[in-house]
Amino acid sequence: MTNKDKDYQKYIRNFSIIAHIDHGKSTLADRLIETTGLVQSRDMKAQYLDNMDLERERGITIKLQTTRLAYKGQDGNEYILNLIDTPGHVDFNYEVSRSLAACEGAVLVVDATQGVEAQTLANVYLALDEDLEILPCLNKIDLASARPDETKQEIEEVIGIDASEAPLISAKEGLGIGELLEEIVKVIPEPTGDPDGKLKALIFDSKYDSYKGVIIYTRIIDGKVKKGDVIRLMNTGKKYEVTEVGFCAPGPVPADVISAGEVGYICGSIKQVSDARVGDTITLDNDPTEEALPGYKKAQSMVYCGIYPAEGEKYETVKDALEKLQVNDAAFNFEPETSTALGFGFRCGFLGLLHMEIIVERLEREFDLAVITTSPSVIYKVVKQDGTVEMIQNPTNLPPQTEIAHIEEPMVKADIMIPKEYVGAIMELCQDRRGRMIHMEYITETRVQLHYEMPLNEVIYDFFDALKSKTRGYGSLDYEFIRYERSNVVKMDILLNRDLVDAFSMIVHESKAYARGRFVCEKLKTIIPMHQFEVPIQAAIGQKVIARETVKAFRKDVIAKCYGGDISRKKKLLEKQKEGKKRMRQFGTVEVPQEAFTAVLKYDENK
Amino acid sequence: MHIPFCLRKCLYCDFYSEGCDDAELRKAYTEALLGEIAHYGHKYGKALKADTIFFGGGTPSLMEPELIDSIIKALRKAFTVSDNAEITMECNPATLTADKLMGYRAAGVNRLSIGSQSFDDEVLAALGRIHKASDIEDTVKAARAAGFDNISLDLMFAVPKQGMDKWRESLEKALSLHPEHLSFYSLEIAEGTPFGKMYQAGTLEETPIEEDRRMYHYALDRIEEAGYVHYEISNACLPGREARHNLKYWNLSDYLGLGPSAHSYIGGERHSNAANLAEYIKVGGVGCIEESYINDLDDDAVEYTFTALRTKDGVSFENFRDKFGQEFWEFHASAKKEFEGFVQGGYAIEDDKHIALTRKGIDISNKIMALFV
Repeated sequence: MTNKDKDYQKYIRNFSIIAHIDHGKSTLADRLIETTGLVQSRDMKAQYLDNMDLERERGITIKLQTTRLAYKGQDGNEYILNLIDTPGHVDFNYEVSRSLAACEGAVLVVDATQGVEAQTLANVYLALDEDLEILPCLNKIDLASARPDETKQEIEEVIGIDASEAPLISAKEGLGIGELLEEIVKVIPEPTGDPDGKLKALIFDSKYDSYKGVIIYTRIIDGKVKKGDVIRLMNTGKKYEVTEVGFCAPGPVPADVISAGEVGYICGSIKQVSDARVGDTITLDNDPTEEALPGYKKAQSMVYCGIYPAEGEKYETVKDALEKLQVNDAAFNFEPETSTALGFGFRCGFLGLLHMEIIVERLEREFDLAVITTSPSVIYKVVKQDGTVEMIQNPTNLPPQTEIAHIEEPMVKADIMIPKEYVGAIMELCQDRRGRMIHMEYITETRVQLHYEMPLNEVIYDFFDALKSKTRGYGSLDYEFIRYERSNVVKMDILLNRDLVDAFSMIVHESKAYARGRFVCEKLKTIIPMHQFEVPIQAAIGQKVIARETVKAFRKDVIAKCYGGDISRKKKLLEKQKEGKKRMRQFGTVEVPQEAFTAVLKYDENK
Repeated sequence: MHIPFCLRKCLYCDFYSEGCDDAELRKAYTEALLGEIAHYGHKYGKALKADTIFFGGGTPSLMEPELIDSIIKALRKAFTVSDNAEITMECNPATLTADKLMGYRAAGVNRLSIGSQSFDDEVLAALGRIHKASDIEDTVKAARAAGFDNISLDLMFAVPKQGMDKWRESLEKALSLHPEHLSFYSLEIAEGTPFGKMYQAGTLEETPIEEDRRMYHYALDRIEEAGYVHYEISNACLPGREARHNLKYWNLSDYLGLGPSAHSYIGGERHSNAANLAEYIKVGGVGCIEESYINDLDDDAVEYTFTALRTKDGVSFENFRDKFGQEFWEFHASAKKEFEGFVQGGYAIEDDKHIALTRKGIDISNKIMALFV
């Protein structure tokens, strides 16, 4: 596209697809790619299925993908449709908002059998924040239980956008896809940047490639960029010479130049994705734009936990794996630490609990490593008697009580959106999580937004899960850090057979310590196997024991039957038992299965 | 010989069986079984020597005596079955008459294993058994009259609605019938069985482990006092009346399992037939092997170790050396240290000739056996 038509932007549409989990976003994306036929369906699969087990299982998109589609409109013109996919979890809200900022419009997919749900709304509000044009469409129209009219009405009432013309589609069956493509062209506005202006481009994603270095995915707002240009990233101030530019189809297709209104990629021998952080603005070093794009945020780890190799000798392997993950994940960081119980390991920082789970699962799946994670913790600000301040993200490092003047914990502003019938239940939940209500408002007749200030510590454990379960999936959550606040938090230790196991130590609010101590002891009781002796499990604050359970000495582990000569069955059973033993960690005299460390993290308060 | 028929499946049972109200089906099944016997007859011929035959189930006593007779005849024709072979048949007390018993005896069955399970009607009902306590006594009497002088009774403990008192009573009633052999099993709640489902739904409570073990050890004391030898975890007998057939499972002898879901260990190979009666009949009993695995010497040594540990005599180092050409503790070097811990704890015994479990060790036998796999 060297000799660009002056009007080339008229034929570009940049859009995202937004939807609630399982409403068919990925299927629709696949169908659009297939219908427009820009890529062979085989390549498309390779692109879309790579490393996606995790996302599939959790029904969320973690990593973004961008695809350029060629579409011939009914008006006879060739259009370029840039589909920018978005992740779907509150941990990644920032990434979602940057992706949306790269678009002029969003296709809102609503499952016609389910209607409007929480994430639909959360995503719509993110899209409206970016002033996007929203094009609703109803999916799964082929199912007998589809109720398009009601769903349309819901969209109009709850979201407040006109849905009368919304295309009825079935992404699975390929119904209505042509009509939808036509609507995308008609409804979503064309980009209106100035190709002759100073370069201003938004980084909405980046990923590491072992040949090209970091690939920056970008939306050019104004100006243009080509190979050989020296670009400057305005927030980090770093400069790079451009080695390649191009489009995503979805694999990289090099081009001479990318210009205002277009979506593409830039490479510049960049070593780490953290050097090209999402949200940053790209400009030319020798002819910079004056103002960076708004909305840039530095990656900030909110949650920390220890990650230890399950087998001590794997330390270096785990370190290598973490380094590789870090290269591709700007929001993840780690440093070495040591635990008396678990040996050498790493303290790792994450955006949130889901982000943490993803990293741990990737270690296990992509690197085939078994790791043990310790209780996640937020960063506490410890003000000591001598006036000095320490930031503590590992409970074990908390100074002795006598040296502490007071402790402050991070607070967040939490915006919670729910149908009105759940207000009571959610207010109770928030109160239980030490939340302070700031404000409550009716968004529509049926939907309510609650604004709370809450300790981050209370949000990270399983607040999102609890919110989902108490609202049948309709609740949505967004939160951001606001400040540190003084708080009566204490360090709770766990002792097994009277030995302190530091990996279980956690910082909890005084008012929660008893319940949490009891919970952990009860949980461990069900997980720690019986030994030849009784194993007392104690939760203690300082010297004071606040909860206790006992694993009795073992009494019975015998198979009475002989299974009519089926020795293999018995052998398998014994092998399983032996295998289980291998996964145990020895703490003093007590054997603890590795799952104990993750099991105590999930705090099920319905119990 | 697996006889996969049951009038009704007991609530705890996870063995393979089908319903059977149909004499034709039993006949067809016998035909297929004869087919499988003939197949192995061709393969092994008279070189295959058997000194035990075991009809297990299912409910073998649902089979007409003529059918059992034809099966035994076929076995004798196909293989070398010794004259004094132990021929056992499992039976359900509700399915037997004096005539039938005489028929089985005449066919050559010389040992009965009676699934009595309990002498309390309430417990029997809770287990989903189809017989009453009084049926057991009638059956034993009729069996004696028919000439059976080797009878085993099965008993279950740690069963819902049982408790120590009923267990004691059942045990006394069983002993009063002077069986030559006793098997006693604690209830195992298996996944996929009605009990398994009830347990998951919370409508069935497991007997507390302490009570379970009290029942077990009480039974051992009482049985030994009555003159029985406790020769295997779940089995005891009057001197010399060990179940010769079951012992083969524990000392790595060959056995050929016939019928759907039957397991074999023969010529160093373990294999099992598919648990599918219809298919078995359709193909005439031939070619139903679903899984097979050829043991190497290490597999054999491992299996021998953990199965022999089920018996009173445990593992004899000399036998081990004879069978596998290696010293026991050389082969199991990695298990030695932990095993010694169990010896010190009183769970096992060890001298320079053998190792074995103590009574206390039986309670946690899986843990100890797992050291050797």
